[in-house]
Amino acid sequence: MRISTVSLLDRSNQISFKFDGKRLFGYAGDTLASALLANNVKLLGRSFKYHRPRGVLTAGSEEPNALVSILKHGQLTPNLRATEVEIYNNLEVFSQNRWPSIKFDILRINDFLSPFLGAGFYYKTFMWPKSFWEKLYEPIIRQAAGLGRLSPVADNSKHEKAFAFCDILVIGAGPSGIMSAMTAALSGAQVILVDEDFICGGRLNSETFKVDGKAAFEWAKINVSKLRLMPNVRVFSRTTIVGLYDGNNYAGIQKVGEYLENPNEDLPDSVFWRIVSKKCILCTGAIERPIAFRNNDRPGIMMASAVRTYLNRFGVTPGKRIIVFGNNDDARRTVFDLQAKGVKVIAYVDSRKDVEKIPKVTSFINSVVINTHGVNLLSGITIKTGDITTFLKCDCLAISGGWNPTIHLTSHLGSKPIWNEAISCFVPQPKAVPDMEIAGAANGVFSTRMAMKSGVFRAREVLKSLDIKYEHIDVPETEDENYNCEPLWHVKGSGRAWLDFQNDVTVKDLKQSVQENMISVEHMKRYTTQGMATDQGKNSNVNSIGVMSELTGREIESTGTTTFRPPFVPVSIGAMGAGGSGKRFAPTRLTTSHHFNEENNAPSVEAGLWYRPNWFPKKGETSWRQSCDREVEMVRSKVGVCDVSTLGKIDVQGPDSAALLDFVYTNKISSLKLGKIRYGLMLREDGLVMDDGTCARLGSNHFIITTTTAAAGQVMRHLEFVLQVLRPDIDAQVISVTEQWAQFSIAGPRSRDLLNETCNEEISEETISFMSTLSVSIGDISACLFRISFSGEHAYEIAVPASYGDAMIRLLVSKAKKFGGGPYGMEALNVLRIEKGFITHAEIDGRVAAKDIGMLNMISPDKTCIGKAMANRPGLISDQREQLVGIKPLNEDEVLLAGAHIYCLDEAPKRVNNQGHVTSVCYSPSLKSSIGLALVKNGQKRIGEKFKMVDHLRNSEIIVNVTSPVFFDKTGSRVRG
Amino acid sequence: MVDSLRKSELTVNLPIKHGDLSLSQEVTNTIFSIMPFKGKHRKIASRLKEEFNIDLPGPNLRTFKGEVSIYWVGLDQWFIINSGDVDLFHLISDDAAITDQSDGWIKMSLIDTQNKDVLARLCPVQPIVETVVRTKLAGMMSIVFFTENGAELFFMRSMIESAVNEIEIAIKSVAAQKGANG
Amino acid sequence: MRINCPLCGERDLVEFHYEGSSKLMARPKDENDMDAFHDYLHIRSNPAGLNNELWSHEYGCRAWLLICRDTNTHKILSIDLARDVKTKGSLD
Repeated sequence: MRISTVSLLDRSNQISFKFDGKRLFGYAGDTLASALLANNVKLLGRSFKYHRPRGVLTAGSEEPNALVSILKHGQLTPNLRATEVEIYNNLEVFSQNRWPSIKFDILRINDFLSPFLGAGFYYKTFMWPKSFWEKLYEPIIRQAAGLGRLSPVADNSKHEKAFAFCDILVIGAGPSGIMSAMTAALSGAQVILVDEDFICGGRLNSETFKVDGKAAFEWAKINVSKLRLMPNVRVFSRTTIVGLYDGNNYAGIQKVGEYLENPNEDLPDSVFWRIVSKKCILCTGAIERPIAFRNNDRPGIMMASAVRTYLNRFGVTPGKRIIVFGNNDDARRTVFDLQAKGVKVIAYVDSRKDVEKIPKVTSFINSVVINTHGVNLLSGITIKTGDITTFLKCDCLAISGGWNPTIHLTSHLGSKPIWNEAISCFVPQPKAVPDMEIAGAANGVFSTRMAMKSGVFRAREVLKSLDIKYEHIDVPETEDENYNCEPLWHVKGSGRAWLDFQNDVTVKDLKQSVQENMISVEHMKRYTTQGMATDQGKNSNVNSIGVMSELTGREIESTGTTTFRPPFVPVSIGAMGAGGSGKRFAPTRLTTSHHFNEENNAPSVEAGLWYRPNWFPKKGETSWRQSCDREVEMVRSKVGVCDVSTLGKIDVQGPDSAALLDFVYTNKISSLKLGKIRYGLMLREDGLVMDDGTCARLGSNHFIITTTTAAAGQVMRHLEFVLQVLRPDIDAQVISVTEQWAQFSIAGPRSRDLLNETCNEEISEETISFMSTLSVSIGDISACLFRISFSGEHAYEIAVPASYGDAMIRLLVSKAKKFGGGPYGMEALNVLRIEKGFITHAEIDGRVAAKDIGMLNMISPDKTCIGKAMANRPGLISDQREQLVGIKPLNEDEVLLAGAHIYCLDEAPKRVNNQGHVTSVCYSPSLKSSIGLALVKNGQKRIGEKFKMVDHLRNSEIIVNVTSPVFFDKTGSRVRG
Repeated sequence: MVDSLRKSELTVNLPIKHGDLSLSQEVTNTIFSIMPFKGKHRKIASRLKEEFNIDLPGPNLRTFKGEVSIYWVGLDQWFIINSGDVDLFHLISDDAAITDQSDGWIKMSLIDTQNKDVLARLCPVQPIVETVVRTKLAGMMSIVFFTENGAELFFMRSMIESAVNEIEIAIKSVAAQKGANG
Repeated sequence: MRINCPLCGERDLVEFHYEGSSKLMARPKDENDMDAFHDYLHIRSNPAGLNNELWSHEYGCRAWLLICRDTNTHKILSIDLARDVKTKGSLD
């Protein structure tokens, strides 16, 4: 119910939103929780396991009950905490985990079955009969399970990631955080202050005590504004630090577009900040803990400090007849604040013995609440004092079991907190995290004034460690009380008392855990699922440890804690993958002929990051095969032009450049004459093939080597490894020139004619023989011509500076057309090379040795090289290895399938009988048949034999012949023609 | 015979402007890589000093004189930009590996916010003015020189469309968030 | 995690490539000693503690680095240019 009082809302800005289809009103500055409570909506959802009615418990990011789904622009986002959602106009919210409606939920039946659904039931039920699991149990569980539903629509949320650097990161802008940040900022250090809330100030926004004579929230506002104006300070609100990582890396999620009704389309929903900070001051405050007692989970039961938040910050009272139950002095503040605002406080219950009654309020000292009542909402409670029980009607019960410092970030790197008996809570181990100081309530310093002092002190420590002089700063006058907490984890008695609200774990479940000898907290956690919900046990961990210590007769210290891990609050996968959706997942690399390809409607194929044209459809062609077959025939009979710029090109220079290449290639490069080109094979040190390519000698100390497109990066890394790590004695330098040169293959019987029409120089057998290079010019542009062939035809590759690439492809294609030729794409390129038995990384798959591809003789006996030693391992030269062969179907109408396996005719097509597999396939227009390359056991000795090719996935089984991998032009005469 | 080949323009749409933020191309005439051979650093440095009156910069630095600038871009690796008519091969190729990189790299200029918010979306390195870094910018190999009001960005030609796309998204996002922060 | 490259200063992990044990620096001299190569390539210790390893600052200055890292805490105790360690003294 809204009370007309001072609050932090903008009352001039009314907001209309919908909850489960019903239109409600609130104000700018309301959270969904405060607006719902203002509208007397107290039933917000159903619990996970038992489907018990639930309402708002807290006013913060630790909220375990009030999880809602929000529909926005067609997207449904589940499991958002109503206590954090900022309402905007036309916000559409739905409660979760109930069917058909929140008031009448069929799965409430689980609650009545609870004796059978206790801890460990997951491990004991649904086990038998085995067959029932897949058909019956699993589908039912899947329907009933889960918290919230995923949207069936493709996610179109936009997220961004960003980097930030600073000297000091202050986490939390409450009393200690503001003082820390101010101390640090005044010294001139680069400061980042973050707070998860949309208004900085922490508890100062919810309490009625004064700071420096002003209202607490006013003091906070003034000082945060000061900080924002300082040039060395950045203040991020709506930003949660979710994790601490090695190397002083902090992950922060900042809400940007997601809280706006109609965010600008360029605005991301959130920013995932990677903050690198020399030092950190943790000022995350503390979270109030509940008390476990029978039926302590009814809607209307809330944390006492949350009641104050709704009252003072949002002008909302969560009830008209309120009872306060606590074990500490801080809880009493709730009574005073309610009284001051004219709300009826029915009673005050304090579990401690020696405390004073509160005037004008019925006070029960040395008393506990032993039960609560109500159907969907709280209607009354039962109090026990000694032997006397009292039933009182109420519609809200404010509870406080004490405060737990929010220490989670301190344990993300493995440090465990320590128990402080005096203030009955866990605090961080001092110096637990390098470069981090902890201030205020997060360090167990609970009074506001002491928290502020602590903030100043810790900031000074940090500045000292950075060698930065600090200025003096006054700590304002404000409340400075002890809160005198006497721990009460649970009220003993019958019935279920809730510890973990979200996962529906009760004291009874912990008792069962102990009974079954799961007494370590790690075991209890997994056995009961306490602490494993999306609140990560923020509302239940300490109470559960307390209960466990009582049940097992151990001290809390020896009971121990489990480990907190990132993220502190749930983070969407979209935010974690920011910037990586759709095409942005990886950069695209485009050749200089890309636009020419697009203009000619050539579909692109991805080759690593590169886009290459697959074929160039001619008018009238209806299938890719038509285009591909035509292009193959065109290259073999006339001339074709293809962009081969994507292959790695590495420039090697230096007095020892030849020695380097002799070391990395299996064959001798040092004997290569000036102006000549040699094919080279590169092995890994373990003897398997790394890559193959060509090597051209441009000078006595100058080579250009090529790599396959796929292995360019790997080879570059390998060369640097050799030069820096293995052989720093080698005097040579390497650098990639892949991007500098646009390179085009010109292949076919008319290729020489084409080049004579293009280059200024004469292109002949004399000027450039097979496997030679020649400097040429086109117009006034210098180019490099290589006579090499991947098609088996008389062919060349010409390299021009990349800024002329576009002009070059157009020129070459227009020249080619004069000879009846044209451009060809990857499909045709692949057919041409398969027909000639040339291999690619389809064959060199990382498991293939030199002998397997018939290149054992390429390992020069006269020199050492990488891989030579291990290449001779018996296992790598064995006859039983799969060796490169050609493969052809017996029946020319049948089709080979890449990836299919080879079996002997008389053996069953099972894994144990595997003889090898098909690596590359194509339709060969030259042979008018499907052909392929394969790796077959002892293949080199089985040429001419018949086998079965079986593809189990595509249901194909045909008879094939094993052949030589060279199908076409077996003598290789065309390339020298 | 062919008269001449036309140099192609970049196909990306530059400059991009949003308020005070902008990304534009800075045409470079030449870029050459210089990688000295063993024991030749000092010789190379003095040759370059003689010819251009510029020092060879140390790690993460840039030196310049008039039109000519030299960027340190890695271990034993420098880029010399706009060295004009000087025949570098003649000058130092006995003592260093020289390659033409003029066509392989595209240079752009980013005008950023005072807090370098656009760079924050792209660059994992802290922007310290007047330093050169080689890094992964938006997932791509890049050379970055941080200036007072933004940065010079070098990307490889094949990735220029992806690079401009990523930078444009960052610029638009920062422009939309400006003033909305916190 | 961040690595303090001797040339570039402290940089984000995204710029680096992890190769493996520093054992890879000591390539056996005898090509016929298959046992030595087997040990060189395949035999590794897996300490919970200090580990000597090779990294490359691939997206940065391209330097290969010999790093001593505590595998329990990721704390880096020393970083050197692999080349310098190999030649025991810097070049030039």
